[in-house]
Amino acid sequence: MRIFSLLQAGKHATLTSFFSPMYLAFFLPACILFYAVMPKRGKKYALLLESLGFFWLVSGQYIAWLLVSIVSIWGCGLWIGWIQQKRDAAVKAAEKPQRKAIKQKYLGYTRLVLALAALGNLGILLVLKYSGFFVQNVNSVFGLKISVPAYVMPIGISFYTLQAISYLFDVYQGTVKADRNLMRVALFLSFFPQIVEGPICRYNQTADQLWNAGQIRYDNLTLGLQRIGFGLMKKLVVADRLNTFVEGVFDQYWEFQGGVIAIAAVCYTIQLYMDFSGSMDAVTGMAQIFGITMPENFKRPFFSRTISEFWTRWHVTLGTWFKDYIFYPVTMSKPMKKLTGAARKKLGNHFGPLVAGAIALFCVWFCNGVWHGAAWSFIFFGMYHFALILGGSLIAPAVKKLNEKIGFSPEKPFCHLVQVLRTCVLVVIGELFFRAAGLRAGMNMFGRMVTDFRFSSLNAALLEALSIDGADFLIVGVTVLIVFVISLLNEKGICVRGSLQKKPTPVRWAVLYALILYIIIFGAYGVGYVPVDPMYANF
Amino acid sequence: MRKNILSGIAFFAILAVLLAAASHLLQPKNNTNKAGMMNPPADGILAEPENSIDVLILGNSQSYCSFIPMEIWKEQGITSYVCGVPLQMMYQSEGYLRRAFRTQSPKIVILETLTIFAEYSRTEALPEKAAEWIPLLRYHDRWKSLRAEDWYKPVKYSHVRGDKGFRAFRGAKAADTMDYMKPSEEVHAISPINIRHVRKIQAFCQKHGAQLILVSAPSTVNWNQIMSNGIAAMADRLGIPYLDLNLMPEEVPIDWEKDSFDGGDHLNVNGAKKVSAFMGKWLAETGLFEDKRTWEAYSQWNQFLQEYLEDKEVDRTDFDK
Repeated sequence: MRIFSLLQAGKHATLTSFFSPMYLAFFLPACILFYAVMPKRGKKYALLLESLGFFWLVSGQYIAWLLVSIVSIWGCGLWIGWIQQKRDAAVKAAEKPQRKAIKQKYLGYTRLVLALAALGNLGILLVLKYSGFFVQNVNSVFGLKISVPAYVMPIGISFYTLQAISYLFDVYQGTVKADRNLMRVALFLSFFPQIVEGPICRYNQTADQLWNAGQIRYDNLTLGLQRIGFGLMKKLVVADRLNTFVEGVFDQYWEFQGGVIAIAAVCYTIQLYMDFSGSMDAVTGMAQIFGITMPENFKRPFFSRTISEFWTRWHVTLGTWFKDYIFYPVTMSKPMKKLTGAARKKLGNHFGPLVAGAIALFCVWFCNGVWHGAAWSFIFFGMYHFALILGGSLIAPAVKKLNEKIGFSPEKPFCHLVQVLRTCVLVVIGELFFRAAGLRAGMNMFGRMVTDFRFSSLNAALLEALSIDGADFLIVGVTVLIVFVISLLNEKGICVRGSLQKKPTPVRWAVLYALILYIIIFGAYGVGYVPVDPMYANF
Repeated sequence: MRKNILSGIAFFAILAVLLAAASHLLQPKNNTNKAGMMNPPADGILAEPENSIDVLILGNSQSYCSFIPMEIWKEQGITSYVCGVPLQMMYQSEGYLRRAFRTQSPKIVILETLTIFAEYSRTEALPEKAAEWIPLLRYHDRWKSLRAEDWYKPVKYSHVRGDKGFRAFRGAKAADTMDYMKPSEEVHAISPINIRHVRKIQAFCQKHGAQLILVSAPSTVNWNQIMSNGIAAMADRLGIPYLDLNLMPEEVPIDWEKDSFDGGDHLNVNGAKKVSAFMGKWLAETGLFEDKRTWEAYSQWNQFLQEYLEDKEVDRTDFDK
């Protein structure tokens, strides 16, 4: 009976955090054990069962939405594939002059199926996630009193919907073949470590790996656990320790000076990075245990020199998804190509292509903002980055000229550092709006930062009220330094994990013991601490 | 394969040694707040002379507001200790029971019943349970106040408390008794996990020659007839004696105008004296205890009693001393 009570559907929200005791002490070991004892042919089914079981435990009946997505993309993928096969046969049988017309005809069919499937999947996401926000705004604009719907969203819907759409597009574009195997599609979409917070994988990145996963190997197990440990350190020592301070300032910002708000914004940016990248370390580590290589979602973003570079290093799989499925299709569409041609004639080779690029960029950043959440603050967050990136492109020639004039070479170490710091400041401002309780709160906080940039109230009493002290900041600082040094080495092409793996056993073990004790001693858990919920799990 | 297994065993063996060493380093070296102990009043039992406690009392705030060990000592010569902490969960009650029995062998264990209704998640309990084996998990945060002596000083619990876990709250705030213990046939359900804890505590007591008693302390805010029925049904099923003091106005004549400091939520010292007088008598009538008031080995209890009678017992602000 107790076993069955443990398996109650939708009763295990704590499993959404990879670092919860329930997940680390029970769920993951049980999954590894179950997978390990399965015969080779059954391992893929074990992974699928664990993945659907995970979804069931967290979201209960809402697993129906996931199943709808799986079946719909599998079926529509096959449909598109079947149309393409018929097209190829018809083209082959037709005379050369007729071929173009036949292709056009079949293109219309495939587009129709693609639109049907993509909009169907997107529609579920739109209704569940955005209908409340939409109705709220309609009510306030038109003075109506339509009841605001509040649907329960299944875990990871924002992530697996993008994966589902990417599969359909890839089949449509012919980069992957429509899969006849429903189970493989299901495993691709539902793999349990990645469904909560990503990364957003492509079919050709993980589907075959997952389906052909083999025995658990000792080196994969140890390396995977190491990576989980590294993520645990980021989450437990930094993200959770900063939680009371960040929450205290953001929730009652009007009581704090601008300088304190600025510190909280920096702390929040660090917290978000440590939480999200820590979770990604856990996902990558877990996948590695099963012998699966996940795409990296973070590539040392705080070494970026520009905002556009930052977004090629932060939440990489989301950025590439928007680039591949929104930016390129928009810029490469016929009307945009025409627009670019016309603009190039009038505005020249630099500014001409920027017109169509700006439209595509706007679409990308609007979607990026909205994807993060149904609120104006998220839309502002998207538009903020749109403005920065577009602004950067517009002033690029002028800046280049100015740099040449004043002898500022961006390649010099000092100039490089200035650019990195500038990017960090811009990122922190963006994250301030991202975290603030609404757009108005974000504006007010930013206003205070600008008009009241003082720190005089930052004393021991204030920190005590926010349940944090100097020792907490010290340990956060030390941990950030550790992460920074490792990132710097990685940035210079030195793979720290690889180097460590080559060291003699006593050295490797010493490092691991140090990591374990560091997490246990300096982790922010137990009485007096409130762990931060997985920050990207709700997006 | 064999090599990997052996290497895994060696890795975890060394890790266990390191954890034990780190646990020793960070564990409070005494049972005081200054030394870093988390719940000094409840953990005071660790410093009591071996096998000197007759009655162990477990529970949440109801326990340490309702039972005065010094009153029971004064009237009956029975030693008791309250291992109560705010919002105590059943897994914590079990933990305190086990810790107390390492040095004590009380004949009666009283479990204040409000704790039995406190729900918790398994996730919440896991670190606490693990901390029984690895104290580092409970005291890891002491790195902030680590002193040189922590590196070499042995763990020695020596701070014997005069309050014996009781926390004195003075002042009075009248309670609303309109719906207090309104008759009902309904039975409040108790979560299976907490029933399991009660069974485990019962089995542990039986194994160690102690008797478990369930007692519901008077409270107009937290208690009602439906909850009482729930506990009574469970106690009946498990064969555990149960006393609901809320249903005994003649034996425990609580004046709800004067005997609570927070409007019926908890008892103040006056109310606790009434509960303790009754419980002392009840315990004496079991015939399990000898009157130790004249025993030399218990002279310190008499010293503490003097302080208690002179109204020197700790104030609310000093609980964590």
